[in-house]
Amino acid sequence: MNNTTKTVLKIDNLSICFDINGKKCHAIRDLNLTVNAGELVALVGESGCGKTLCASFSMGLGPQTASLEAGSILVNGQDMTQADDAAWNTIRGKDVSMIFQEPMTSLNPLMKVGRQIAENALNRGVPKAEAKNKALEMIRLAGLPDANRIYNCYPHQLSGGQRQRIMICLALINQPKLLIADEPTTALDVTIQAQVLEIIREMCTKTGTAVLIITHDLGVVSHLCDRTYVMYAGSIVESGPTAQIIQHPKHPYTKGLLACLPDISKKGQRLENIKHSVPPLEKRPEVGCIYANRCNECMDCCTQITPQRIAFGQREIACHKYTLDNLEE
Amino acid sequence: MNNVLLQTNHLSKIYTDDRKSVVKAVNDISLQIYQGETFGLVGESGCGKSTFGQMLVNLLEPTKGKILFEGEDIFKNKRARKEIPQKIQMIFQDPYSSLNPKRKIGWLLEESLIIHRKNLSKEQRAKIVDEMLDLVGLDESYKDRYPSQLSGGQRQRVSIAIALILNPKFVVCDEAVSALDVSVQAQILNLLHDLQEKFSLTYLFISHNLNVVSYMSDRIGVMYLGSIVELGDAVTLSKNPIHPYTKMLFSSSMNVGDADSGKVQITGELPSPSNPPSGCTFHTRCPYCTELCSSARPELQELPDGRQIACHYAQKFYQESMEKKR
Ligand SMILES: Nc1ncnc2c1ncn2[C@@H]1O[C@H](COP(=O)(O)OP(=O)(O)OP(=O)(O)O)[C@@H](O)[C@H]1O
Ligand SMILES: Nc1ncnc2c1ncn2[C@@H]1O[C@H](COP(=O)(O)OP(=O)(O)OP(=O)(O)O)[C@@H](O)[C@H]1O
Ligand code: SF4
Ligand SMILES: [Mg+2]
Ligand SMILES: [Mg+2]
Repeated sequence: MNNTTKTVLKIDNLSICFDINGKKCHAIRDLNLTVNAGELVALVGESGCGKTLCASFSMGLGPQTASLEAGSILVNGQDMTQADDAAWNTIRGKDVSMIFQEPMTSLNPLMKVGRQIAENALNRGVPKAEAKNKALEMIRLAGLPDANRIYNCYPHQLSGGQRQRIMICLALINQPKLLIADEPTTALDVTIQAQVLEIIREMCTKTGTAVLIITHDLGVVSHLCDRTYVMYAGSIVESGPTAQIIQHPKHPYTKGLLACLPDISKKGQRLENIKHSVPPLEKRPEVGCIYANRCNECMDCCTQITPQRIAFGQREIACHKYTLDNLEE
Repeated sequence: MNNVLLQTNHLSKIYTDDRKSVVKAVNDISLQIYQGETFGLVGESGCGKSTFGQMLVNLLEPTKGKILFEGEDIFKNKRARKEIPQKIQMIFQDPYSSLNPKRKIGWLLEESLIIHRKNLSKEQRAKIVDEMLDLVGLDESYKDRYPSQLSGGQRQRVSIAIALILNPKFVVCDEAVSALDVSVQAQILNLLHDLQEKFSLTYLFISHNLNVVSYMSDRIGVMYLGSIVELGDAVTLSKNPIHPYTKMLFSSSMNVGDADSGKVQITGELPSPSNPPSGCTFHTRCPYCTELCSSARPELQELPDGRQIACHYAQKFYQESMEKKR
């Protein structure tokens, strides 16, 4: 394989279902996504769209009740859909690593956070004294004051943002090939957010670590990520270079997401938002565009025919408003 | 119009951990929050925002100081301790740990009605629960789900519904929208506005997202290492920050499309709260620091435009900013 375009994560036509009251419901439908070495890629979408599900399947941590209907997940070229726990365990932490959305539930409440970080290195054969030093170094890198004090804290003694940064240390200590960061900065304040994202970016370029950042914050995406996937109700509706997507959003969903951001110039005005909410799995239509009931540009055909992905340049879009002809204009 | 709803007098919280190190998480905060306003509280992670908020809702006992609600000390007597907390509710930063995982959403919502609204019939309770779910944009069918079956944002909406179901007067929103995607964030911010108008609610709005805070708040307080360093009208403060820390904080705020706001001017790191710097606690990171700053602690002082600032050179910085404007 050519080294410059080495693909670290390749998800092909992935479909994942849950059984709800005896009915098979799609949580992820026909999803394609790739992350190349050294790249920062964003996965953006509303709550409930399936971002975490997609990430946890890429880590071999999908919920037991979820069934994989179709598709493949290639990590470093190896198909992991049939992998057993042992195969995942050799990959997890070393090749792929994840920062979880829920800092409190993924930290051990009874162990000092510094030891938890060091333990991750110990598990990969780093000698004990070195592991501790590495852990302290990571704590410093994450912008936490007074590394020695923090090392000896239990999770409940830290603030929300501090815990999130501990999660980042845990994930990065072994310099993985792929880092999946699920909402890594939502609990962080702006100054630290900028620092932490800078750390993630630096590390990514230095070691060739690819990063998949899951977020709903388009501010994060616009500054950091090379490419963006916009996800709605289990499907990718638009993807491409981040700058193009932010400056010239095409899909009505992407446009809607950009229009709802608050700032001081909108004070006193109602914020625009997208009507209704992401439908629960059992209420998602089998045919037609899943976004149709919320779309303010919806046409007759939208509820009857499922829009196919159209590729143009480096972008892809799935919406009946667009044809190859009107896109290339 | 300016009726004080809640007031803190020299409120402080000191944590001591097992290694006997002392953290002054909240250090002598005196402020007033007016009936019907949204008071924004901002500051870096670990500066004590949640600690402050949790003391107001009676989840944490202050080490020192007083909290007055409608002029009454909330710790005064048994009756105050029983009645006042119902009027002050909190929307938590972390919906994962604040929802009982063993209970269905419907039960979680109904619980406080069963405890505090004994005169309601079962049907009346069910109706209120449905209305609440609808208000926060959740389908009725979520009543029969467990928290673990919801996504992060869906859970946050549940916790907002729980906080509002008893019609409180004062709501502490601790990063209430931070875990939400932008479209639900917009819906929830609109919702919080609507509910504020409908029930004349007062909010303490804690968030690290300055775009959200300046959009929502009437006034903003900026915290640094447990103390208020700047407090004033939201528009004035965010458009023309005076305290060097406020300036730094607002310069690092990210906006979509701001080409070079990715380059953030952050100098130094947040000092350890267990060993705060002498004098002005910000002096270790402040570009304007002088000898005076490292030895004497600046008190909050009022500027001509009404805002309060704890900086030795507040008047000077204010004059400079006025001249620049001209
Ligand atoms: N164990 C489960 N059983 C049934 N449904 C589930 C389960 N886990 C997730 N879901 C559903 O699958 C969908 C996708 O969930 P997921 O957690 O991936 O969303 P998300 O995009 O990460 O959202 P958020 O931004 O809120 O974290 C949601 O509608 C959720 O309700
Ligand atoms: N139970 C505790 N024991 C000891 N120290 C604590 C405890 N809880 C919080 N702290 C410390 O008190 C300080 C303030 O914490 P707090 O949670 O109030 O910060 P915050 O401003 O809400 O931060 P964030 O934005 O990250 O949520 C932090 O330095 C934290 O480490
Ligand atoms: S008092 Fe001094 S150190 Fe503190 S903010 Fe003002 S100028 Fe900076
Ligand atoms: Mg998620
Ligand atoms: Mg907090």
